Amino acid sequence: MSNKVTYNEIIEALSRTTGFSKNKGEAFAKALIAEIKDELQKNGKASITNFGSFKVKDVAERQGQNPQTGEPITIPAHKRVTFTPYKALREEVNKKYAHLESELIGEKKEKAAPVIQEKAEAVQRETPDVEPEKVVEEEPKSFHRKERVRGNNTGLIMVAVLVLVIVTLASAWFLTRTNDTEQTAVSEPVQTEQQAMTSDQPEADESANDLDNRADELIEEEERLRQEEEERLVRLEDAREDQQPEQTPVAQNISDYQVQQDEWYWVISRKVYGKSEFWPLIFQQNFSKDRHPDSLETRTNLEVPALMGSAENLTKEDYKNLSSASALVSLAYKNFGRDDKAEDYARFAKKWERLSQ
Amino acid sequence: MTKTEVLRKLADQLDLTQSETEELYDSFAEGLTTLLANNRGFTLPGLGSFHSEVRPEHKSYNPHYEQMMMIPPKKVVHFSQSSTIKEEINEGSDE
Repeated sequence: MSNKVTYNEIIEALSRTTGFSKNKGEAFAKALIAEIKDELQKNGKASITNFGSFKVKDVAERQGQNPQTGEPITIPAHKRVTFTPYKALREEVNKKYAHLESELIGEKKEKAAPVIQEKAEAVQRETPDVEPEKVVEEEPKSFHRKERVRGNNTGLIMVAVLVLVIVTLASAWFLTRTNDTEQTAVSEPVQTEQQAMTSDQPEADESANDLDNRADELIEEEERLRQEEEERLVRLEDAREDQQPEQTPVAQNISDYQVQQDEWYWVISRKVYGKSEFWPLIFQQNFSKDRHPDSLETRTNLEVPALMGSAENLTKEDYKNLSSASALVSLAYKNFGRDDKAEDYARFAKKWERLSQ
Repeated sequence: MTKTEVLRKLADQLDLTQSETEELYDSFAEGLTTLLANNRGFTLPGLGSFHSEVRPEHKSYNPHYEQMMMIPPKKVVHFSQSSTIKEEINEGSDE
C-alpha cells in the first residue's frame, strides 16, 4: 500500500498548514475522532462538515458461505458504519471524470407497450422507421430479438403493399373519372343535337348523377379495401403474437434433483439455474412435499422446473412464475413466524411482477 | 450535533479558542479531501480507512427510460470501518 498516508503524516501536514504544534494537532485529531465515535454510539450518525457523514446501519441476517470450505453459514444481524461523502468531497475526487455523462445504448430490455406503439407508428409513417430498424438488425442480441425484427419487416412489407393498393386504386379511379367526363363531354353536344328530336334532358342529368354515384362508390370501395387491409394487418400481428409463446415450447420441463448434504434451496438453485435468487421456483414446485423454506432433508427428491428463457434473459412467464413463487415463500415464512423474511419476499414478488409486465 | 457544537466542545477540551479550533477543523477536512482527490488513502485510527478508486464504465438499467445505459467511469471514495468501531457498535446493540 504505497499510496497510503500514515496517521503521523496527516498530523504533520495539519500542524504545518495551521501553525500549531504537532501535539496540539494530534490532540485535536484524537478528540475529533473520539467525538465522532461518541456521536455514532449515541445517535447513530455523525458528520465532519465538508468531508462526509457517518451512519450506523442495521444489516439483516443473511446466508453466506464459508469462503474456505464453501459451507453455508448464517451471518447474524449486525450493525455497521457507513460513510457518505459530502458533495464537495465527491466532486473534488471525481474532478477528472466530471465531464462524462451516461448515455442510452439501444433498447435491450423489451417492454410490451413500446413495441406495440412502434408498430402503430410504423403503420402511420412508413419510411422513418427504416433507420432504427437497421440499427436493431446490426446487433441481434437473442433469438427473441431476431424474431421481432423479422416481425417488423413483414409489417413494413404490409405497409408497402397497402400503399401500392391505394395508389393503384386512386389512379384507376382518376382514369375512369377523366374517361367518363370526356365521354360525357363528347356525348353532351350529341345530346343537345338530339334534344330537338327527342327530349331526353332528364337522361343527361341522370348520367351526371350516375357519375357522381360511381365516384362515391369508388371512394367507398377504396375505404373498404383500406379497412380490410388494416384488419388483415392487425390479424396478422395478433397471430404472430399468439405464435410466440408456442415457438418457445412450453418449458415447464421438470427434472428431478436429489438433495445432498447441507444443501438449501438457494444452493440448489445456483447449481441448477446459475442464480441463487430463483430458488422460490423450486420451493413452489415442491410445496406439497416440503413446507419450511429454510429446511431441507438430505436425499429428498426435488422437482426442478426449467426456465422458459435463460438465467440471463428471463421471459415474462418466468417473471410471473417467480412472482407467484416469491409470494408463496413469503406466505410460508409468515406461517413460521419469520415476518422479516416474509416482508422481504413479498417485496421480491412485487419486483418480479413489475418485471413481468 | 452541528459543527458549532462540536467546535465548542473540542475547544473546551483542547484549551483553544473556537476560531482556532475551527481553523484546525477546516484544514483537517480540507487535507483529507486533497488526499483522497490525489488518490492517497489513509486511516483514521479507531474509525476506519478511506481510499478512492475508479469505478469502471459499466452498463446499467435506467428505470426512468426503461432502457440500459452506459454509465461512465467515476472516481469514488470508499470507506471501511475499523474493527474496533465494529465491535463497539455491535456490543451496544446486545446490551
